[in-house]
This record gives sequence, structure tokens and C-alpha cells, in this order.
Amino acid sequence: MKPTMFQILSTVCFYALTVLGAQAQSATALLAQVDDQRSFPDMSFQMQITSFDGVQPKDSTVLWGFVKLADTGNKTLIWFADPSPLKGRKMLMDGPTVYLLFPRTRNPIRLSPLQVLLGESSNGDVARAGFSQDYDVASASADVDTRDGFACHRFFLEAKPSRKDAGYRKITLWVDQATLRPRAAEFFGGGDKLLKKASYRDYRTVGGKSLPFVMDIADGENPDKHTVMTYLKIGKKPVPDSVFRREYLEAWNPEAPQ
Amino acid sequence: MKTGVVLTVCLLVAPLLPALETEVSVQTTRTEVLAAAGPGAPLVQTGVDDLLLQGAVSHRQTLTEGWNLSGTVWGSLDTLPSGSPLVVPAPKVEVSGQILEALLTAEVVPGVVVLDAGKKVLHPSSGFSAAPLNFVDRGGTKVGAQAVAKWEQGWIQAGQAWMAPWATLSNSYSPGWGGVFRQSGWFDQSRIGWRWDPADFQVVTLVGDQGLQAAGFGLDTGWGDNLTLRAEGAWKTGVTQALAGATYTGADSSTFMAEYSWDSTAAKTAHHGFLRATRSLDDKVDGEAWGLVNLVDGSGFGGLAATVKLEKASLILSLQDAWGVAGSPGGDSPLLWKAGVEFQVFL
Repeated sequence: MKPTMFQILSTVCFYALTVLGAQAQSATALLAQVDDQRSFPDMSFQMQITSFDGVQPKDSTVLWGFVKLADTGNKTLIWFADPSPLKGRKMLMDGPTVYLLFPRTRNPIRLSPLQVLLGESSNGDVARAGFSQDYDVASASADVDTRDGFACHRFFLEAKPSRKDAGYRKITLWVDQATLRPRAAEFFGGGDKLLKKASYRDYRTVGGKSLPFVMDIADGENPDKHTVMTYLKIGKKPVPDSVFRREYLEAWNPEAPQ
Repeated sequence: MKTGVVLTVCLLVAPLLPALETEVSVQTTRTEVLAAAGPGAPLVQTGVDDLLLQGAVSHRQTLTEGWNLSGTVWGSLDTLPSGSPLVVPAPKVEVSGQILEALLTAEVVPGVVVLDAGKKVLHPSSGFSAAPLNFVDRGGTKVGAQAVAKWEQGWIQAGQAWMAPWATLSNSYSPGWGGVFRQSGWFDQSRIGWRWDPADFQVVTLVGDQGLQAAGFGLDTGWGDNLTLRAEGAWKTGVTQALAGATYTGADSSTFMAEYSWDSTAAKTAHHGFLRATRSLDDKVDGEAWGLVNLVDGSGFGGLAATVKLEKASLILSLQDAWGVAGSPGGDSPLLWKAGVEFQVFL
């Protein structure tokens, strides 16, 4: 018996969906591997954030950071070390929740992860240890795309249904095919407006992970306005879980990351 | 006066010492008010100029593992001794100062139990334009409208905080020491704070020699990456207060804040709306506009401010105005307008 046209179409659609599903699954697994390289347990760091207008540096801030990996999302403690107008501020980033405690005050106030830290960098940009926590792989380009001389996979990420209200609705991420290191990303807001572009450079191996020591974040409309986040130090410093909570910020006495 | 002089001298010497965090502010304001030259005299428009030099020095010292000593002293030289342009005094310079905080902290169970003793600010409210949960506010000034007042003075107290996995319980007992401590009547403030994702909740109570004097409830939460929300309600002896507010943060760093506050006594009920917008005008300049409006009669206060950010300093230009018909708070306010220039240095 010859197959009908309906049976042929059904079979083609079934295989097409199976292949697409497998690709998405494979891309999701790849993204998880990419994220796995972004941080390690008890990571501590000193980071300098410098905003530029063209090649002219405008402002600079130095932060101390302590990261706790958790099933529910990473937690990051930040202490502002420099400049003096900001020195002494303490910040806790617990997933999308951000608390800031000003010096000489006792009640941390809640901030948005989109709140600008300096220039083009926001609280979320410092705290973000991975993409798969908040974003699903909508699709992955089968073509090889070259960025900065590296052959890259291109992932198209969309905010998870539970994070549809995220500040960045979509992200396009370029990942080195050979090493799975992120090389570049574009962040889109509502209406697919390009908000920011990021590039990741100067990879070094610390704590068994390959980490970009330099992240350059540029304004989506004006690439001359950009902010460079540079790790001055990355180390390992165990900080008790109990420290990563709002109420403890007041008592927290940060020690310089080694 | 002597205390003020000593503290002011300390402030002047402090920048020379390492490891101290010093903030110095020089502020000049021009205020146009309606003031009476004497008792029974008619109100006439009067311009008042004020020059105010303020400074604060803070330090935190680790004594040994888990034990810390921290404190802040503040001093000022003011050419307007009344502290208010609405009361025009004879011209003279007034020197004053306070120990805002001086606290010994011991973390007796690391990350779980913290004890402290000394002078401490007790300020649990998250409201910007109103703060229903601040039962024992003590001084401090706000330029425009910030959640956190500058130079707020603490209370002599002994406190503890127990950070259990499910909640944080804290308590502060303040003795009614008069004299130099200027604390009339004891009080005991307790707070329970807990998180139920994505919101933070708190219940605050205040007990004094009259029994329960105040009790309140607050919550802070977020909605997506753009919105933070807060709500507070409190009952105090003879007064009921409530506040609801939201802050929207745009991807371009601009913020828009809206708050509604309600304040009710046996005699009257007040409804206020508050709006505030901030935006980076330039890499070095932030702009701010705010307004506090009485929703019943439309009167209110508003202001504009621009902050120029320098490496170790800030320059703040501000303008404030009051409006409203006669009989309304804004219309009856003696304040006509106020312009200020403040230069802050951080050392």
C-alpha cells in the first residue's frame, strides 16, 4: 500500500521535530557546560570597573566580591573599596534580588538588578555567573560564526517563562566552538531593542576553571560608551552560608580577597 | 557647646589620620520665607542666607575575631543657629556636634548570634517620603527625599540579633538616661524579619513605660528586574500610618518612584502622594526631580537637584519650592523657595 501524502507529511514533521528537539537539548546541555566554566565554589575576587567614552576613562570603581553557589541561584556579596564616595557600601545579590546597605545606616534597601553600578555595568552584570539560570535556548545557529578570530556557536536565548519580566528579554551569545568560552553577547530589551553588547577576553585558568578576566560592556546604541570590568584578583575564600543574607550585611566585616 | 567644639576640632584633625573615613560638606542656601520681625508683627518676605559646614568621621576597628568597635562623630558650624530659616535668629555662628554612633559588636555564634552595646541608629523603615516603621527617629536631614537621612543620631542601647534559618529576631533595649545622653524614658524595640520569596517581611514593636507604644508591619519585594515594591503600616499611640510605594528602574539607569502615604489621627486624616525621577544626564551629572503633594488640597513641596560627581567629591545644586492655596499646608508654609549649593568631599 502506498503511503498517503498525509502520512508522508506526518513522518517528515515527526523527524523534523525530533531533530529540532535534540538540537535544542544539545544546545541546552552545551550552555550548561558554558556556565559551568563561569565560576567555582567559594570564589572571591577584586574587580575594577572603569567606564570609558571612546578611549578616555571617565570613572573607576573597585569592588571586593564573594560568590556562593547555590541550587536556587548564585549569591554574591560585594564591598565597595574605592573610590571614597562609595567606599564602605555593602551589597548582597541573591538571584534577581539586590540589597544595598549604605555606610552609617542600619537598614538595607532593595534595589533592581538593572540599577547601574558604573557606566554601562549594572548590578546584575557583576552578579551574573551564568546564563542558563534565567534563560532558555530558543535556538542555536547551525552555522559557524567567527568573532574576534574564533569560530563560535551562536545561541539565541530567551528569558525563561518564570523570568519573562527580566530586564533582558533575549540574549545572543557567541561561544567558542573549541573551548566553550563565551566570546561575545548582545542583550535585548522589550521590542528587541539592543541594550548592550559584551565581549569576554583574557581567559585565564583559576580554580580549575577558565575565566574571562576582562569583560567589556558597550552601550547598544553608542559603542563608544563602554565599561570594562577587570578582575584584579580571583581566589578562593570560604564564607559561611549565613553571611549571604540581608540581615547579616550590617555585621559583615569583609576581608580583602587573596 | 564645649562638646561641639571638641568634636569639630576632631573633625578637622581626622583627615590627617589614616584609616578614618571622613566626609565634609559645605552648604550654602538662600531661602525666601514669610517671617515676622517680632511677636504680632505682620509677615513680610525675608531672604535668609545660611552657610553650613558639616563633617563626619567614621571608623570600624576589629578588636579580635568576631569583636568590632565602630563609630561616627559629627560636627557642624552653622551661621543659622536655629537650624531653620523659618525662625530667623540674630546672626552668629553656632558650633555643635554629636556622637552619632559608637558601638561594640560581638558575634558570639558566627553568622547566627550578634550582640551589641552602645549608641546605635534604629531605623527599620524602607519608605522614602514617609517612614511608618521608624518609631524612634532621632534627627538627621534629608536633601530632597532619600530613604536614609544623613547624620541621624542613634540611641544608647543594648541589643541582640538571632539569625535563625527561617527568620531574624532582633531586640534593642534603650535605658531612659537623661543628662548628657538626652534619652527620656526607656524603650524596647523588637523586630522579626523573614523572607518568603520573593518578599521580605518584618514586624516591629515598641514597648515603653506606657506599655505597647507602637507596632507595625512591612514588606519589600521585587517584580521582575525593573520594579521594587514596598508597603508598611503602623499604629502608634494616637496615630495610624501607612505607606505603599514602587520604584521602576529603566535599562538606561533612570528611576521613577511613586509613593502614597496615609496618616490618621482622631482629628484628621492626611493623604500624600510622592513622585521622584532620577536620571544620569551625563557621565558625571545626575539629575533629580521630586514632589510631595497633599492629595486632598493639591498643595505641596517639590524640588530639582543636579549632582556633579567628581573623583573624591560631589557638587549638588538644588532648588525647592512650595505651593498651594491659603489654608493648605503648602500655601500656608512660610517657605517661598530655597536654592542651595553643597560641596561634599570624601577623604
